Amino acid sequence: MNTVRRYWFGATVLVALGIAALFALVISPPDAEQGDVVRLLYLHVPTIWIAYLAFFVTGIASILWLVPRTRRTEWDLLAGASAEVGVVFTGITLFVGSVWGRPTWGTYWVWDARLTSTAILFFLYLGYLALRRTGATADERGKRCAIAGIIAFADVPIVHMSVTWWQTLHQNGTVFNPKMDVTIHGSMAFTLIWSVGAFTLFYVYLMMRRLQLAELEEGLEERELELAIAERQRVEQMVTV
Amino acid sequence: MVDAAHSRPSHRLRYTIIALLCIGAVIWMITLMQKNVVFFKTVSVAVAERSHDGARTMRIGGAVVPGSIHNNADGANFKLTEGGVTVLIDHHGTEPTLFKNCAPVVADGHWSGNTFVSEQLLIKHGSTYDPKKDIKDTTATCPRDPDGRGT
Repeated sequence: MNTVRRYWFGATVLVALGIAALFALVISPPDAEQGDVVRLLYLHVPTIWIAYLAFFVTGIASILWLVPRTRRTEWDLLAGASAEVGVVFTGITLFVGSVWGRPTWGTYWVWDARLTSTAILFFLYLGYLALRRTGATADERGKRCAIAGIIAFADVPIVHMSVTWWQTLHQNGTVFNPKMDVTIHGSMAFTLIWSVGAFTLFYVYLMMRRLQLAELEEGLEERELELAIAERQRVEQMVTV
Repeated sequence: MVDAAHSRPSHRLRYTIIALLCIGAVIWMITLMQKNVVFFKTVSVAVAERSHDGARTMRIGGAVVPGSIHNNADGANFKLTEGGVTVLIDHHGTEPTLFKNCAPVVADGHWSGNTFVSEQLLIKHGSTYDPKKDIKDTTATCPRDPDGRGT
């Protein structure tokens, strides 16, 4: 995407997020039970849905890299970039959820299946990001991380189904519950849906910038390698002369 | 990442250690999860399994019976109900903000005879969001969530 189009897209994302904030903080009503603290819903839920999306993209890109016929460096860069965004969004989910838990549940944290599996998700992909820097070559990195990226994704359905499979403090899904009985309506539902959309656009924008950076990094490393080779050749020529 | 120009073994070692620490954290949390897979027992199940549980620390969940909350110097005592079974909770400590008649509560503590002594109360908030206040704090039955499942 060229620079002008990127600026327009970035501006669109900013506007979408601004509208989300307006609805979340001002226009939508307080909840009958928990009052204004319910507004954290409009940040907490979109961030975890986007984390699911990001880790899904990492998984798909990992598979594409692993299959020899489709193997390209770009898939590896995509997997890494998406995992970075996913880790940040998972961290935000955990933090906002914890802040929200104190006035509603009465505690910042419990080790129930939902919270624990989400914390596991965070550390799984944090480990994946560290793994990305342990390979000596791009090939090593690609292989290790593709396998890790696919295995780690197994936690995503566990996180999502934890409130259904097990007895937890964290409640069932307001939208995606087993009965698909949606228990949010009106302007609250609109705010939630809009926020999810705005954050999805934000994810796309972050990915664009991060991939651009990754490609520059790859270019920079090739350039440094060229310089190192040229320097070595120059030294060798000086020695032989 | 092309390597010949700047392979730095010390950095790779650092990240390997970080990756191992993360895996360690994951393994630790998996064991925690296995311990807490049944985060609480509902009142009816807890009462049925009381002799099996003895005095071990556990959690019990249900709805606060309206009109049963009695505050005292140490905390409060109240009745918790679920599945047609009611139990007396003797709570020591503070109560969460949303604690009231009909609240879906998870109490953390242990059995002492037929009473459940608790040190921590948690509100099992439901997945319903509603701007309209349609429940009044009534001493009749709890219209929306009689078993404290957290709707």
